[in-house]
Amino acid sequence: MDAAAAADLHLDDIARLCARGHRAWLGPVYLTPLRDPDAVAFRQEVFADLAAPDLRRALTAFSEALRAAAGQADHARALVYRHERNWWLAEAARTYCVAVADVLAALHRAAPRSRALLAARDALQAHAASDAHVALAGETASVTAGLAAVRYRLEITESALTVSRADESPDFGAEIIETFARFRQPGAGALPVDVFRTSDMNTVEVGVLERVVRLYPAPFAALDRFAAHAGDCIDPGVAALGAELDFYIAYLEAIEPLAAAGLAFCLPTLTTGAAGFDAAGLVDLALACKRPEAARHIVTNDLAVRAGERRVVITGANQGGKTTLARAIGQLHHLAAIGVPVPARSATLGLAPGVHTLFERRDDDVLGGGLTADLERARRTVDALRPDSLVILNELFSAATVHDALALSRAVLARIEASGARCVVVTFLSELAADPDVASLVAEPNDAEPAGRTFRFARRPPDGIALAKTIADRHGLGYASVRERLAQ
Amino acid sequence: MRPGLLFADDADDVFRAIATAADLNTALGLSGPAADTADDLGLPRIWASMAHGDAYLEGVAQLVLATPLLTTAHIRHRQAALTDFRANPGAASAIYRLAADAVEAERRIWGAGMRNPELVMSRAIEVLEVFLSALTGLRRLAAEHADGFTSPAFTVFFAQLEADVDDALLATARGQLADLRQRTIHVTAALGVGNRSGRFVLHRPPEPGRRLRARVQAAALRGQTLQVLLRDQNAMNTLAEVRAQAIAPAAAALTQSAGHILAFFRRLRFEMGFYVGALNLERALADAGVAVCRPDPLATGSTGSSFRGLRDPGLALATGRAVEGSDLALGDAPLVIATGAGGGTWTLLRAVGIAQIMMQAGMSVAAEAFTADIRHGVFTHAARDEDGSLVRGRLDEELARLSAIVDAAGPDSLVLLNQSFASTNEREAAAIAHEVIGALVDGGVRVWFATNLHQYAADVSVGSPWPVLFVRPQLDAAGESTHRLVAAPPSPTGDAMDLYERAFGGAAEEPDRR
Repeated sequence: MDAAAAADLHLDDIARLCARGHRAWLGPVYLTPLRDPDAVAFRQEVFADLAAPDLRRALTAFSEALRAAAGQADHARALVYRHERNWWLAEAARTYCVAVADVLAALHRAAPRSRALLAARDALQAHAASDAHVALAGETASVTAGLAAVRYRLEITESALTVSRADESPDFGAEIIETFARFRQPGAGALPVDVFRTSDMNTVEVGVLERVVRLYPAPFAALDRFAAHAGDCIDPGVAALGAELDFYIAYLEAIEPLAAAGLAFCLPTLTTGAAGFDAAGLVDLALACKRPEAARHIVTNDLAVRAGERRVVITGANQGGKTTLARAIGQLHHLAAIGVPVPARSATLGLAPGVHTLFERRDDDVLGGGLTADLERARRTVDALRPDSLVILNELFSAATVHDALALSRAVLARIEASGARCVVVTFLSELAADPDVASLVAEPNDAEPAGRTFRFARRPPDGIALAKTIADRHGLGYASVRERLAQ
Repeated sequence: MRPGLLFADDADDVFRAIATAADLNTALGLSGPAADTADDLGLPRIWASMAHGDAYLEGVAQLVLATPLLTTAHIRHRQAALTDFRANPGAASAIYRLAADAVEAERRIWGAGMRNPELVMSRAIEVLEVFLSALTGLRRLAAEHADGFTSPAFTVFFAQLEADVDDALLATARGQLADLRQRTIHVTAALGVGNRSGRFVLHRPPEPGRRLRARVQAAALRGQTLQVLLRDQNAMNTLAEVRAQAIAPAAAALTQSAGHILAFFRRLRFEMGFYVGALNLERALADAGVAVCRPDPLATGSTGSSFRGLRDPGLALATGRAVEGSDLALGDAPLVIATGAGGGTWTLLRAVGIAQIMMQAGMSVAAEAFTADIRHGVFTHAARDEDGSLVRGRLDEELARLSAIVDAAGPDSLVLLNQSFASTNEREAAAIAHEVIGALVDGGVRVWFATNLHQYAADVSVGSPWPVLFVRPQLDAAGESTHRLVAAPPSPTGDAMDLYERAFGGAAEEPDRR
């Protein structure tokens, strides 16, 4: 999808929301539609599996653990002191082995049905059972256990530390607590001390450790041996798996607050051939994401467009949600084409890998300049169209007179429809809805409050009166506002 | 260990945080109907009398009076403690002063907000030294004077003191503090993140005997000792960092223990402070010639409330002398209507409200005898005006305030209405009064209504679903109203014509009926 279309439909906002921080590489993936229905199904299957919260938690933890292990390995490489550096290498290996074991257990428990996760499970199984990995896991476990068992006694004066073997002296701190236990009042406060630590080992700690090694050489020899052949413990295939899982996890995280607020999501049904589309409870996802706490109150729309209706015309009063509805339709088709759940209770549509936009650009007010640019863009778009494309037009040619705008619109729409693509047209030119095989959606008026909006659209022919009022409103020439302005 | 002097058991959550807070004022925060009621009843004068100039005691008084007891057992517990306090003023004040001094001494030790483990440790040691002395002093007081105390509150307190603060504890604690003062730290450590030392466990310094052996082994250990040159500032800093880590857990434990004992002394100061204040008030009332008595609480909902010689203590404290008291027996009437001109009705309502609150704080009340059932909340509704005279306020302003009271009150509250609804005409006021008061009384609230709405009083006296007690000020020889209210049917007029006669020096002329 080109950048301008992504911006017009606010899909770039959605992509940015999902692809934050270390997930930035996923941005283009969310904006690249799939052309093969089977590829879409492949991704939808994974989302279906991830509806199970346990599996989703386990896979999220796996992805995070892999990143943690990579971070630990990086940290090791920046250190100079041998025993400190080797500890971090061992820790990276431990984190990695635990991550693999945990995710494998979760994948067995959850019994996924998607081809992707089944293949992942098999691959991880093979990897975990390989000689190299088994050896790594075993050695890591024994090295870390050996180090964890080391205990030593320190005598610290104001200018010296002496390291000796640990003995079984009693815990003085516990004795103090015991002495004063009878005075304990309920409601313990927070820890009253701050302990400052330099970020890496300081010279005194190095001196201490050197003397500890002298007392207990064996665990450190084992650590040295481990580090000598450790190399990069993280298998690149496993790392890639973790990264790709982020595509699914990031999207689910982005829509979670909306789902929690009651917004419905579903995996759309994709049909083949010349298709209509219908959706129940559709919303503009980018709009909902902007204010998730208000998602409960967002107005949804139900749409049904038949296969033969190649043109959908949306008319109605200003600020009534026409562009929002058009965006929602555009988003619906693109999100379906990347295989993610869509913001609707149910949806059926044909796969439309190419979603194009022709939105009004208010850059040039000069009639000639603006119109020429618009027509150039229209030409480029038409050339790129295929029968399965979708074009969203928003108030195009609005700077021209009604007569010219109508003629231009008719001409461009004819070319679009000649290519077999479907178009969704937001306009005040209700004549465009008069042609045959057109679906007309009109904003429903608010009975309670004549100036109010419902943001709901119904299938019916456009209102002539509303049309006139719409035009007048656009120029601030409604009855009430003229009176108000005269009084100023 | 808890003092347990104000509450028999642990039903004191609301107190715990506030009583141990360093700053009572921020913890208190009276607002809305509760604040209005306190002002209307003149509680600030009561608090001031209890405080006798001590700002801390004023805070204690405010808090205790604002959190009434709700069972007869709790009230009796406090009454008994107060009796003990009265009988042993010297010993009791000594305990109060000891607790206050301990809290003050802790506050004066420098370094309260520090978080460096070594500073925290050394401060905690100093604080605990002070507290151990204070506990020793407390125990000595207990040993000397415990025999003079018979209330459950004090008996349990002294027994617990004797059990918890024994010689063994003091010796052990002092020994541990001495060990902690030593500058050499002995810890066992293990390998943590990055193979750095962690999971420190502190040990006592080895016995002198062992020290000899240690010296012998010192030579062998020489290779195992890392020396840090005193002039190497960087290395000294890192050594200090390791020392801090090593003693951090023990420092935390010690300072938390000191904190627990501080909380104990704060609590003790608070609780003793309440009784000090209660006795201050009794003394001030005695000086003004006001009789006080121990009230008799009844279970919520009981009938048979009555009193003899009830007075408004705030008025007595302000004027320095006692006015006439009132005697009334409510029987089973949930509604008392006080009619009549002059301020006597409002004075009685205030006296009733204050006595209820003081009874439910476990204090003596300003009467020769007083018995009442326990109420959940006392609320007043009066005209808002500085000098206390009746003001024709806007009707909706007073109804809004009444509405707030209805929100705050519950089925077992006590509501005192002073000239409510007077801001509109009598007919409308009567209609509103029937609605609101009817709803309150039916809902279980006990209501006292000082009013000059004679239509309303007349309606009620003719027919009401519950028994009603009517009271009026007794007139003296000159025909003036006194502060003594007696049971009597409502007067048909507001004695307004009497006031007219007094002002114009004669009866009104009959209008010419033509």
